[in-house]
Amino acid sequence: MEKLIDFKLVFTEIPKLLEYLPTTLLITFVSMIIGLIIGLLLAVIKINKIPVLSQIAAVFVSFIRGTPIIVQLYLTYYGIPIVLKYINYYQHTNLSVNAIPSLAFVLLAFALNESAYNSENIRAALLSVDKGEIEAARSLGMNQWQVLKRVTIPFATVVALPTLGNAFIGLMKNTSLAFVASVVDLTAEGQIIAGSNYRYFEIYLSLSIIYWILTIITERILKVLENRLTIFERAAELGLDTVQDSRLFNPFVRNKKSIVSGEVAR
Amino acid sequence: MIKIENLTKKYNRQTIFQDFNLEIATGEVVGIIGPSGAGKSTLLRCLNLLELPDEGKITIGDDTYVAPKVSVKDKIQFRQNSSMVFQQFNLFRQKNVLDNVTEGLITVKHLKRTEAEKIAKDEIENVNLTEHINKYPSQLSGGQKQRVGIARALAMHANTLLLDEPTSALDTELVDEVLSTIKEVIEKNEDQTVVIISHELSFIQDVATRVIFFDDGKIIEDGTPDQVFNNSKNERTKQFLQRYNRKSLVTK
Ligand SMILES: Nc1ncnc2c1ncn2[C@@H]1O[C@H](COP(=O)(O)OP(=O)(O)OP(=O)(O)O)[C@@H](O)[C@H]1O
Ligand SMILES: [Mg+2]
Repeated sequence: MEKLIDFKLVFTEIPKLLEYLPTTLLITFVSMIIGLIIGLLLAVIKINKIPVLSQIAAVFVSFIRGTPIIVQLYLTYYGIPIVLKYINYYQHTNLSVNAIPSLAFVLLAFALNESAYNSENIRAALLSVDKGEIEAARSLGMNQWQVLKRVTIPFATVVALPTLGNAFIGLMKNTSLAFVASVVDLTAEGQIIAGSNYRYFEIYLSLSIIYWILTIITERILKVLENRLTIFERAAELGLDTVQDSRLFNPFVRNKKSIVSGEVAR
Repeated sequence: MIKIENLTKKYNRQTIFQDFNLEIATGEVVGIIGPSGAGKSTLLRCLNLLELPDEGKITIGDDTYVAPKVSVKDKIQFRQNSSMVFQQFNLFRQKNVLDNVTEGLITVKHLKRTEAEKIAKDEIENVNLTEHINKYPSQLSGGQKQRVGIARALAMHANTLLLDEPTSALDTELVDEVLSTIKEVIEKNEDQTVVIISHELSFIQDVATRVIFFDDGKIIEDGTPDQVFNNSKNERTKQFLQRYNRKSLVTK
């Protein structure tokens, strides 16, 4: 009888799959960044109750939250060509769908999806910033943009980081739907390999291992980031006068007090 | 020099000031006293444009602000004529003491970091916090926090210092250290115009060159500390002082 499960294959196919890791990471990072920027815009629109725009934003967020991501991907994939044809017809332009890489459809769909989900978190985080600090910044003579950059966003980042981190991890896994727009990412490559050797189970096991490890690494990085960003409120508890020892931010170093008191050699 | 002409300020339909006038000479130390809701904070916040007046003219130094129309740029420019010390300190919690003080110098005045730090260190020294320079606000006592607030305000080198109840959020045992810091700061720079709102009447009597008793958006009494505290002929002032003196006797 043929081997039921080829365990060796689970690992030997990993390097081949990893060739497509950059695509997965690219989609994740680019959509996240665009999603954060649009999400911030949506949040600012909502906070300032800008007429018309805030109603449009509300409908957009509700629509994105109310529909599955795979449906949104298909909508973008089939919708953009229609929009282009429409523009070509009425504006007498000659825009070609083929000139747009399919990756762009995927990035757009994921970025819009992220922006809708992030906008609520960003809004709540922006609102949690101390009004007194904003006033102090204004009274020093900062303009609105400087206040946003120097006071509001830094604090909102700390507040939003855990939720945005989860969103990032969620997005990383959701990018496995990119095949819908015929983009070859980790999962799509897995499907291609499995389609030729019929070892579906093994390949999906390899994929799960890769995604799992990616998630664990991301969680670790987020933890380091969180430790670093919250040092201002933990400084007393850590007994810090100056924050210089990088090991204080290292999540693998447990006994931070001993670093401070110099018990652990530098 | 501060000159307020025909100031009108409303919150929604509630009028706080109507055709209000006040002139303060350079170097004066003005103590503002008065009951809660009198409009003391509103007046200070109008001087710093944290609240925008509805009508009137405010001059600080050579700079005149004419309400209500003004460009964002002019507003920001005008704001830099005065610096503010807040009741709740309002320190930047994510920045250590040094960065709290350099923040305005770097972001607003565009000084180089080294220059900003030099100025900041001087001011931090003036409020006796040099040994805490690298601490975060979460590591400081209320009194220390407020002294950082004072250093941050002074570092901007505006000629007018505005203090809105700088000690009323502090535990009683921390009030004196902040008051004595304020006193030192006032004595150190005689050209600086200071407007301070406080319920610490004996402190006001001690440091102010002029005391204004305020009620209902109007100046009820305006004179030297001795005139207002010891020889007031005004019934409302006397009542207010009696109540506060009794209060401070009880707390002591
Ligand atoms: N942002 C605001 N919106 C609406 N009303 C306000 C606002 N700020 C102050 N007021 C009202 O304006 C009046 C004057 O307030 P203000 O804070 O200037 O008084 P104050 O003399 O500083 O009192 P206190 O001693 O309690 O600080 C009060 O009736 C207050 O309720
Ligand atoms: Mg007040």
